[in-house]
Amino acid sequence: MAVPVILAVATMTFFLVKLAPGGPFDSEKAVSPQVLKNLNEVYNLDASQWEQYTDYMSGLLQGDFGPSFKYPGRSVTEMIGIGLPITFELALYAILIAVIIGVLAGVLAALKRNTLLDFIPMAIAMIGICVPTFLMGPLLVLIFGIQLEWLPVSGWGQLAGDKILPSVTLGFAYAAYIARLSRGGMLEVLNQDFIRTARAKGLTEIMVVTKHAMQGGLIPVVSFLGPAVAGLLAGSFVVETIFQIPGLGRFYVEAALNRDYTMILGTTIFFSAMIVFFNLLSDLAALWLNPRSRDV
Amino acid sequence: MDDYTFRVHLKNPTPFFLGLLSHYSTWPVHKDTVLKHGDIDDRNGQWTRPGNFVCNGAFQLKSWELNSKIVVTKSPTYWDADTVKLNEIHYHVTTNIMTEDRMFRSGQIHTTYTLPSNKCTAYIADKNPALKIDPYMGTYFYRLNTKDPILKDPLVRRALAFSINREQLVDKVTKCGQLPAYSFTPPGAAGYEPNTEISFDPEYAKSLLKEAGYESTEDFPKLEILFNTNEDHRKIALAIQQMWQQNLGIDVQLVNQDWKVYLAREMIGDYQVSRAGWIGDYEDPNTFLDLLRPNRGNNKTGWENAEYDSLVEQANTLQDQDLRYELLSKAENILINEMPIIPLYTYVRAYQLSPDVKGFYPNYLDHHHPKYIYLERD
Repeated sequence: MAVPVILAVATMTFFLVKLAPGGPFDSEKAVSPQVLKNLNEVYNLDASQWEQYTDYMSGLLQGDFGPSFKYPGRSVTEMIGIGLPITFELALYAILIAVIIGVLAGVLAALKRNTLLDFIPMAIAMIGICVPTFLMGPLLVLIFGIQLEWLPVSGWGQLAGDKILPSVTLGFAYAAYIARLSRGGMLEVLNQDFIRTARAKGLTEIMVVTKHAMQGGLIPVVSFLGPAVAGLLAGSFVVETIFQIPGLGRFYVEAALNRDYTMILGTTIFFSAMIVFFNLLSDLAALWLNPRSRDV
Repeated sequence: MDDYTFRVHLKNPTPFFLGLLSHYSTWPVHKDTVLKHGDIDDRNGQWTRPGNFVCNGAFQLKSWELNSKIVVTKSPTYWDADTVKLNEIHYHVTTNIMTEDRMFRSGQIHTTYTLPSNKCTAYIADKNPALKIDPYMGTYFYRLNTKDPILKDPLVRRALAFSINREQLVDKVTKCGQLPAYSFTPPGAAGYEPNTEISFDPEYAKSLLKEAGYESTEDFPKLEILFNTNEDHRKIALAIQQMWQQNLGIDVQLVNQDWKVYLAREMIGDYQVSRAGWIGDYEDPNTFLDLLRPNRGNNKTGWENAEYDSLVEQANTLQDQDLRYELLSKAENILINEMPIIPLYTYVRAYQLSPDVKGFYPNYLDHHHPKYIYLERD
């Protein structure tokens, strides 16, 4: 299924971007018709739509995303190569923060149901879900960067500690979802017979929770992680802009604004491949965790 | 003529020729380096990358992290290397002006390129010592599409211009030291002082509209202001909408479009009124007045005036600056009389500069040679 999905995405994107008014070479200071003609010739934009499409697709099948329009002299592959490791690293830290905080808070809340240890983390989680990253980021910067002067306010790998605030900003929103999901999942499992059996066997509470309850209780979290990782990769644009991080998310959105056709296509195809891949991965993991679906 | 001298043959005396040469489009590149890495017309090839790039400036390219940071270091081979005091300059690529402001406030950078407009008001009120507001050779104006059935009448165009309260616009809307503009060329460019006037006179504006055949304002069709998506442009458009509605009683609609759509619509003349700005390339009125000559790609208003064209053309054949300015001033008067564009305000450069930065002086074109800049704590 994966390959046809990606091919369909590529085809649709190819024709949709051409429908948007304006072109990659429109600029405030007018370009002379001759220059425009030459530019269109160089980038093969004077050929028919169909010809451009077949050219692009045959290049794509050989792994060539073409040259970028906005960053002349650089290929889309090179640009993805620059942006991807950064976005990937950011997403990795964010997801680690999200899982550690989210699962801890969620499990604790489920075990201490209807106590302060349930209410407080869940209230914070609700805030985390409601407050968008474009507000959370500047707020954290204001507190930890400008008032307390503990951490740098922007950049990625340039100053010590500059990766902390963006990772926390991005991770926090997902931690909130994960906390609620794991609380719900755990509550459901904790009421089931096999947990009662485990307790009756005389297992310690820690063993009951970690060995028996969490395996089933965290399935919703695992199913959520696949789309979440994909969403983190493609949706890191806001955090990358706030913190001035040269990642792929920024290239993605800026390409659309610049009508950088090949860059839009390259990043869209790349992100859709990522989404397909991570969804598959989380399906497989959920399958492996859930004994009922394993037997089928 | 020899290894270090070249000769340029000019068709006209061109008094602003030296200014033209200081524009970055005439800076030299190293031919052999370009050819080593590609063709001579390859503007952005491998020769522009760190390690390959060769230049004659006070600093040389050390590293270039795309969309992140450019670092240049002092060049030991620069002809005036003794004057250069900075060892390195780091240029941070910042797309978000709020981020830029936060970087400055946390001490990560010494100066900003610009300033969020709402911060400007706050910093003026706080008497923030880092805030700088310098004169800048630029005009914010509205283009009028003279091919439009309503706007092809100069009376209508003048009515629109005379019903705008520019003082109010800069005091209440832009609020960052901008100056009301009554000419297209910003005043004081290389000694040129335009003598045009566009007073705020709603009664006169109404009479112009009547003269144009709109007895009652209800006869006047709806007007559209096109602008590219931006909070500041929106505020200005709202104010103008209000002024036209109040003073002329006409209905105005605001249309915001993303940058590329806005450019495309302006280019093909698919607009009525469109927001625009122009920053001088060199310090001479010609950098503005040339724009509205016929067949100039940036005219975009469809306006053509033979007398205007010949005056600007003629001015550029003269060597006597006074005589030149006289002709250009005549041309400017024709322009304001015909009003294919409505000047709104003269730009200022508003930015933040750390008190530790020395040797950074304001100038009309906002050119700052890094060789004179240095850091020193008082």
